[in-house]
Amino acid sequence: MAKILTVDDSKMVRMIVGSAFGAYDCQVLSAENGAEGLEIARREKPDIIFLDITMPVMDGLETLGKIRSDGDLSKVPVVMLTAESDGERLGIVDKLSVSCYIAKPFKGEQLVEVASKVVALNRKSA
Amino acid sequence: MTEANALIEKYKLAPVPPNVSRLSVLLQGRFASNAVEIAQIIKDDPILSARLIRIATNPKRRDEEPMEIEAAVMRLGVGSILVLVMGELLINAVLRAFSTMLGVALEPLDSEGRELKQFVGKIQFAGKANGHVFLRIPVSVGPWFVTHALGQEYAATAEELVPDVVGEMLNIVCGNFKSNLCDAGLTCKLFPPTVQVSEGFELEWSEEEKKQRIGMTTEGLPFFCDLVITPIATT
Ligand SMILES: [Mg+2]
Repeated sequence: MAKILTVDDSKMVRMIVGSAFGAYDCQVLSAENGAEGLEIARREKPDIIFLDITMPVMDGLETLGKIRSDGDLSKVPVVMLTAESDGERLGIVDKLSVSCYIAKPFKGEQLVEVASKVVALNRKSA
Repeated sequence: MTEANALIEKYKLAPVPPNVSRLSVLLQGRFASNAVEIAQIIKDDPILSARLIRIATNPKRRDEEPMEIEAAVMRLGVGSILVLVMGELLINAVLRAFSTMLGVALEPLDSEGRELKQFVGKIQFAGKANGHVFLRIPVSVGPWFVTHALGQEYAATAEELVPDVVGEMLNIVCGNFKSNLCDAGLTCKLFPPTVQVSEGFELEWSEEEKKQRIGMTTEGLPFFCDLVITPIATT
């Protein structure tokens, strides 16, 4: 079963990610900041991570850097899910290699579309 | 093609709005004193031109002969024009956030909504541009706001979710706005949002700061966004 991790300080975003994948056979894990996200990622080895940038404790750019330099996590697909998409941010993120950059505001369907390219998503049987 | 444009294409992001390049051109000091040149920059955007004239016209004389753009530019000065263009970027960010996250189209509303009991979300930005952005949602509209963002299944728990939804909607609006400012050369950072309930909201602003109040409505419900900004020196 696919494991999806959402790292965002907003409960609203974590809830939208959760319901976007509600119809699929997968597990959605969530973290409120980068430090918590890293800890869960190291323990659970998710198949894909949706990562916010502006968060307390550890922001998304630092988190992405740590993911890429972690032997076990360096290859995990990361999708940026952030309201900030200025040229400078794009440059920093691009160098750290991400699968996709979704600029908020966003729709749940966008997340499913992106995730289905990197993990096997099966609809729950009724 | 610049590196940023190449990345926008690579990640299939929305193009940078034209008002970002307007802002960055206006920030060049050589335009500071030339009303004709400034008017030229504003003129090709009918929405911006209309707001400029509206703001420059005395409310008591709105039914008189409409003012020329050059005259409006001269009356307001470049500092106010900068804030007007920023306000336009902010309005766009609000419209996009409401349309994508809540599925509603906002229309302009001629009200400031100060007297309402409301949730007031506030975010500070600091750097080459300094100020605050407020997003205000009447308390009575809170549950509507939550169920549009998250779905009807949250109707029962909507009340407790309002502050988080107001905070994140403001985050999204300000993240977009801040990205626009950065792309225009006004590098700045955002601080985390605060959300409080207020009755009789008064915008905090000092003499030297400039402000924009934006009222919007959909389905007969009012929403407000305010920008308070320290004047930016053109170089
Ligand atoms: Mg955030």
